[in-house]
Amino acid sequence: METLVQVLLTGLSQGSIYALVGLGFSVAFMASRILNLAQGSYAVFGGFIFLTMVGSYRVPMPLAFVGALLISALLGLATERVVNLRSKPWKPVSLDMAVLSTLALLVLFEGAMFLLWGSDPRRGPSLQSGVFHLFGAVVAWQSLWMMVAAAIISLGLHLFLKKTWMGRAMRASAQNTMMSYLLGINVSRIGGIAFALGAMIGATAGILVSPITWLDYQLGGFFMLNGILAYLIGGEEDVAGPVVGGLLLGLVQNVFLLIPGATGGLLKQVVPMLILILMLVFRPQGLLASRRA
Amino acid sequence: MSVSLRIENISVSYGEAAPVLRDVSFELNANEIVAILGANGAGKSTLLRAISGILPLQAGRVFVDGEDISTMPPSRRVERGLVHVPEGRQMLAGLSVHENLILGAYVRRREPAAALMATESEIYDLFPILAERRHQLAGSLSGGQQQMLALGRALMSKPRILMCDEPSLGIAPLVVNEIFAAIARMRDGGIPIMLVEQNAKKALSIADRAIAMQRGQIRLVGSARDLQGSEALSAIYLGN
Amino acid sequence: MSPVDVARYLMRRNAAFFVVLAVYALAAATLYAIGWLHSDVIVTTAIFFIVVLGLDLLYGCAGLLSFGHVGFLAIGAYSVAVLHAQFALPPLVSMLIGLLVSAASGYLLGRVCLRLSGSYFMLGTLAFGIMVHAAITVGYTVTGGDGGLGGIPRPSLGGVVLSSDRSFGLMVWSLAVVLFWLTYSLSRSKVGRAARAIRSDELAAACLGVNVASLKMNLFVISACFASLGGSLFAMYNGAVHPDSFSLTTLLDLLLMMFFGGEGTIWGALLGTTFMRLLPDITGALQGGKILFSGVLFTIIIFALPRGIAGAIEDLIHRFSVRRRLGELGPAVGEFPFIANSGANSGTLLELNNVSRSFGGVLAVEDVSFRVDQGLIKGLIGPNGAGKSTIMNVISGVLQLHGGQVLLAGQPLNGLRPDQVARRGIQRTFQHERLFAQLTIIENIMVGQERGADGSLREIAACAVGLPGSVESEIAARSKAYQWLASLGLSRYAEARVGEVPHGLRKLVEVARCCAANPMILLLDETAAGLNNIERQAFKKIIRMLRDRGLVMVIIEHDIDFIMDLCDEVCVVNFGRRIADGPPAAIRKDPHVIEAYLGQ
Repeated sequence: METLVQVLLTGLSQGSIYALVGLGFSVAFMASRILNLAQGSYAVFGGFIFLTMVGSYRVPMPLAFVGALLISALLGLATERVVNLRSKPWKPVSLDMAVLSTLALLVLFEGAMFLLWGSDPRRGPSLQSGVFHLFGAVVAWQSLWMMVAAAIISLGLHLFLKKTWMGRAMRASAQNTMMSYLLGINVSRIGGIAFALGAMIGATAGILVSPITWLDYQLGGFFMLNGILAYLIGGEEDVAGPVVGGLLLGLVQNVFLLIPGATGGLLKQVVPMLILILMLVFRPQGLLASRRA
Repeated sequence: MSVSLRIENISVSYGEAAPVLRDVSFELNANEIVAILGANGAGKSTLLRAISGILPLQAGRVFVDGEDISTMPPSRRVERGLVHVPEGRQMLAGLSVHENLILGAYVRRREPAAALMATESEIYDLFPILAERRHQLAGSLSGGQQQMLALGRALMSKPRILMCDEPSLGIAPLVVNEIFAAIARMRDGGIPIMLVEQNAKKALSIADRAIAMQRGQIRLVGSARDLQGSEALSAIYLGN
Repeated sequence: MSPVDVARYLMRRNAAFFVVLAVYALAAATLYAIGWLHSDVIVTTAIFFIVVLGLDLLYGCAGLLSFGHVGFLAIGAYSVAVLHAQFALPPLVSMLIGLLVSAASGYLLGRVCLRLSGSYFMLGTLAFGIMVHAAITVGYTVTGGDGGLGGIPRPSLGGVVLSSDRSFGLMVWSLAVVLFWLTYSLSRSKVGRAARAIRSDELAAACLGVNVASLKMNLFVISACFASLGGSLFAMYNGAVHPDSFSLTTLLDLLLMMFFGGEGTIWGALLGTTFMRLLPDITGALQGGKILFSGVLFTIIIFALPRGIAGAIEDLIHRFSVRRRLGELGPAVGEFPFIANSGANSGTLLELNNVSRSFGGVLAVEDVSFRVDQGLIKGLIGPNGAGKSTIMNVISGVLQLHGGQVLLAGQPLNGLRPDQVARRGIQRTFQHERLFAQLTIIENIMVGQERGADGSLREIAACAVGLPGSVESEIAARSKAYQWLASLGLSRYAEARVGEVPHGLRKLVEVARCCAANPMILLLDETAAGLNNIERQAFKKIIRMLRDRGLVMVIIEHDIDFIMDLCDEVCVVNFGRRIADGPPAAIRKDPHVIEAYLGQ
């Protein structure tokens, strides 16, 4: 029983991280219709900045948190500028070039992180250390915070997209870019904000996970893949999609750990990829069938 | 008579192709509907796109209320009150009727919510069928309903100049009448309108003036009454 | 044609192959002699050259950007490693087995991913790459997991073990040179043109007879095999394998090699690979910054030099050798080398019976019937949105019909793909000009001449090797294509790129491209749009000449004078239905038609 609860909670907390990265994807995809392969880097970069500020410079955690978010926002903005460097209302950027630019930036960020922090994995501080017990299972407080953060951010994002003008403008430019220009929306500025927002959400994920998963400069790719997976599995529903996809992914991965030995580990790694391929074959629009016409 | 919109010698081409618009000039005055007629490929839609800024000008200038807007990005032109309803309805398909309308008022986003709601009710008065479906997804509406939504959405911003591109395209004749009646009411309410239409008779029935284009140039200019049923106009569509 | 002539033609066409290899050999020999170049760099260059050749074939030619080829690299490498560790199989045998596994998995992956659009294709292939990586890490009992797997021996040929860099390098380079020849030859052949046509405009390629799906799949599998070969050789050379060699970083290195060298050029792969192999020496001082350097370089390449170094060189050569004229001189129409495909007797060649097509419940075309008889030019007119283009799309197979039939010379066309329809004898132009931007003008016409490509392995092999049959038909196609250009007075544009030709002339080239396929019927969709007066007159002249030679045409135009002047019969549609059909004079006076255009 405890094992089940343990697996469930670990799955949900890991899933929350994937959900957050997936949300970052979703926001950027909304703005630009491309998959930002650099999305994973923001998580790692943000986490690194956070732990450096707290660890080396003794900055109080809340301040360091804000600082890391701001820097990630700038990275996100830079990404959008680079991707849309040559685009105009009548000549949008080509898909291949856009994706390749994000790939190039992924490498760039990875290289910068290597230069700044070297190759040794680092560990960040927990928001709240220690564990508690639930039905006999041992749960880290940090895990709880991950789930709480994911819940708060998802709700916040949902409200932002539904109720604020900027959020509405973002959804509009995702639906029909040309029409958005004609509605008076400054599409390129909205795009920049969307990327910045996506980067900040990603950074939050990195900050939260850094005490549990040691961060190293190559982790960007790992986050990117799981985030994409979460986004694809959940479907194109702006907020609910990545959340459902991420949680499901986290649960599936951890459930396989119940199977003892190497088989469990193998399945944990391979099954998500198989799920992705199956989805691409049978249901490219994701689990939550898109309402988009 | 105040001139709301003035186009001066504009030329537009797609890449290195022959110019799609060649040296076009005209004026739009307050309280009038000018119908833009001509066969397909004449450059009518291109004209509107060049004015609203989603296509670049190779030459010429555009003035709104005397201000040169030729180099402004599309969003700033909308803020000046120049609203373009493009052809094909262009719905925000995944959003509801209400959300589409709200976004129509994007340029008025700093006004109090009550003012926007009041405008929204006016739209529902104009197009009652939209009121019934206010929470329905725009993508699931019929063609005629979408066109009404597109027009209503444009009106939400309280435009100073309205440009409509082929509102009757793909719409059943009865509904077309409703839509044109609404457009006429907008003009009566004080908005100058440019109306691009293939259905010349319909357009001329509510227009004050008309211009006819052929191969990127203006060939005929005159009052709607003069052009209605004229030989010259038939020639533009059906040849000599 | 004698074998000597064939060889001579191939030498000339594939000249770059010889030049590039000669330059490389010279440079490498010199640098090696003075000790700047080490033998291991020379060997690994060849290995990665092979892999990038495959990638360039897939992306540079066909436009498919796969992020999963490290997976095939890994399969090739680990086949050698694992099969030796478990069964002591000789490396060359394992290499072949790895090749089979990669081909099979490439086929499956292709089935899944090739029908997906842009982003999803990239993702699907990326997922595959990660899956293979994960499988390696986790199957550690067999693959050695994160510790890697060693003990791979060098292969032996004819009893001699290729243990030295020199002997192994010789084998690898021999293989690389052969593959270079095959790939370069392929890229310059009919298959290469068809692939670039797909990359430029998939739909137009299909309508010219290219079997898009088949060609894409075969190129995908072939490029997977190249990667597998490279992986196996890599394993043999290093003696050991490690999962880190098949990570995202490797993928990026490969892409950088291709883009830096010059995607689409094929020979650029050698340039890019050489550069990347030398990079650690260049950036030795920036040890830590190597990754950053790669990233910055990649970004710069994408924005400033998208065609890479080789591409830039080719552009320079093009600018100097192909003298560009101003486009003010219009076309001069001479005799058209058209031979009517008289597959049918006199009578009805094209018949539409009660054809319907809807979009999301709305009938765009409703119960439309008309006939086009031999020796006629039929006009198809109607207001905007009346359904004319939909009818064209249904006839050419771009859209499937939902009701009724289309008969060509009595045979139904229902359910055929566009390339199949093209092969039956229907060619079409498009509302917006669709020349293949990746090909020169004469190559565009050759695609029509060569009836597209069936995309089969047989065709690919014949073109890669340069069999006399394929060479002969290519020479004939080129000469015919030149005749077509000459008959339009456009011969000086033969080697020009599409962007260098004025718009109106491009539309005429598009017509020539279709005619070069010797169709039975030509559908012209608003071809005269955007033509100036001179070009219009030329166009009319061409159409009349084609009619006299027996080509049947259906023309959609908005310029009514044009239609009335040229057409023998005119069919008018409005709101998806046929409202009139008859001679032009009658149509112009028909009250229904007048009402349709001017409104009621």
